[in-house]
Amino acid sequence: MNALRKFAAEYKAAWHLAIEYRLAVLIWMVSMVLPLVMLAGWLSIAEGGPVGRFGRTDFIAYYVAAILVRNLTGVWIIWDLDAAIRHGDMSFMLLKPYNPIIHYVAQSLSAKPLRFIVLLPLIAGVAYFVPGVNFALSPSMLALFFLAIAGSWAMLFLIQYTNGLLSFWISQTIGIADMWFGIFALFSGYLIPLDLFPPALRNALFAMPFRYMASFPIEIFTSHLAVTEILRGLLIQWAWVLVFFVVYRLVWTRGVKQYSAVGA
Amino acid sequence: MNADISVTRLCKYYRVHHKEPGFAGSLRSFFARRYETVRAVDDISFEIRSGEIVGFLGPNGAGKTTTLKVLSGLLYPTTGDISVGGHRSYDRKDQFLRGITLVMGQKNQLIWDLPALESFEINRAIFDISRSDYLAVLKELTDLLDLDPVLKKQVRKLSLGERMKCELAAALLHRPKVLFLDEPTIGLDVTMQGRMREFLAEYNKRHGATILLTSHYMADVTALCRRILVIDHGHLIYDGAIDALVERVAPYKHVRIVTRRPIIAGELERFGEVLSMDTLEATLVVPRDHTSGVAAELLKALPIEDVTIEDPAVEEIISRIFTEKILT
Repeated sequence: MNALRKFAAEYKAAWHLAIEYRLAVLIWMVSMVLPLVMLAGWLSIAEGGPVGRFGRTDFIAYYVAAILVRNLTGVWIIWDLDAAIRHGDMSFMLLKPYNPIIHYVAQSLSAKPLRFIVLLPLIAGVAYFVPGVNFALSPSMLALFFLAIAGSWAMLFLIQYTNGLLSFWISQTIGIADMWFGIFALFSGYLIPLDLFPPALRNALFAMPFRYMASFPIEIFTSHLAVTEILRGLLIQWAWVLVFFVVYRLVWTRGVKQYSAVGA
Repeated sequence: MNADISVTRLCKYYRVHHKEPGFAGSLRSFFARRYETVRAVDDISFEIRSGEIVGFLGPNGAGKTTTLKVLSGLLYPTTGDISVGGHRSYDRKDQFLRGITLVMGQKNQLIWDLPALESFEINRAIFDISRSDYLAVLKELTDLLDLDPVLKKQVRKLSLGERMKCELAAALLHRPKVLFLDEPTIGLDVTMQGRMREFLAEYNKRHGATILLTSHYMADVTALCRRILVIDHGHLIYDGAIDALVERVAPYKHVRIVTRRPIIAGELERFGEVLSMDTLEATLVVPRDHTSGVAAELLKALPIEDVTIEDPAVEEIISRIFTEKILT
């Protein structure tokens, strides 16, 4: 309860900041064109007939869902975290009776409502005007979708946060994050639907955490999964969240020890 | 609680790696890093009583900030024991953190693009301060620091002095009993420095807070602290009253005279060492015990308009300690 109140205070300030930077948020959103570029490519390929299970409409639905999922699950806190650790501002957080992760969770979630509201017209427009697009819009499916969104965000957040904590030891954490983004974009279904990979690779990716970082909620939103598949997927996804949480805890306790040993 | 802060044989060593400048240097340090141990704090012990204000002096790099960071729990000591308000700082227990604060004049904790009040609200939640306590403390700090006009302005639009006042307020909202202040007046103009000093003295008086403060401005220290700790190269070289240090390091006083007619150095040399002189003015360095005698002789021997006897400036004494290694 206590942590929740601290989070609420942090979130309120982070939300005010997001409003303060609203124009920047919009520009960021517009600059996320990678899925659109991919869509344009697939559309011209699909002119000659469907690719795997994907016709032109499927591609449109998939990449619009990808934009939505990316906006709701994307995490961009590593620059702040890295700077806080290396310039010593982490000290101020360590002097307070709370875990600094609360601050970064608040920061990461602060602009999500704004992004969601901005994307609503796009979703509605595509759902309404593009024939054959079938988004999962029933309340129960939306509820499952948002659970999967929360899971994807939690995985991506914990990965990036843990990555950022490496700044306790090294000065190249942002380079690692850039490299990680490439791997993520390629294998999570963000840029290429996993069903279009060769079956062996696809099955391997399904067994790894990648699918649950983007593809899984996209699959739900494009009505590709039955409820039992979704429930099973959520279970696996949240198990991965737990794994990444344990890794974060290990790195955090060691990192703080390191910080206390050498200072900022 | 008698000793609020107790430090016993504290050492803090860092291992830092050396890098030669330039590309070749980078390459060399990539393959074979040379490490060196820096003894930032080397075997220091002291105690501070509850409610005391103590000045912590030393040149840059002497180990002041490191000591403050160890005391506030940010750094783990290499060896030695520390206790602050009954807690081992480095355990960083919530109860400990609620009782202390660390203000670093060179750093800011306030959110840059929001008004200071927003940062205060966050601290209120994090430190679990009840709404009524918060309002009471905020009112007190607003009155003492004259914050009213600045609280609702974006922090980035504040002047340095205004920002520093807000930083201090943010650091004191949870009404800590122990204050570690690292250069709290750095960069402030003389008036603002004076205001800060008055505020700290008042805070100490009202709440019986223990304050350990570093500053490069001697006036901060002489105005607030009767006791000082002097540290150099990680060693504590003095712990005691400022007055006693002055007597010990400078067993002399300055006798300043103004004469009615021009005088020459030759006339003064038998009274003491001539520190400076002008046509109608001179300052002599005279051993402490002899000052009154010398002054009387001067009055007899020369056409004196005015005599003043004073201690040398503390700045001068401190700088002598470090340049001439008087205490080491």
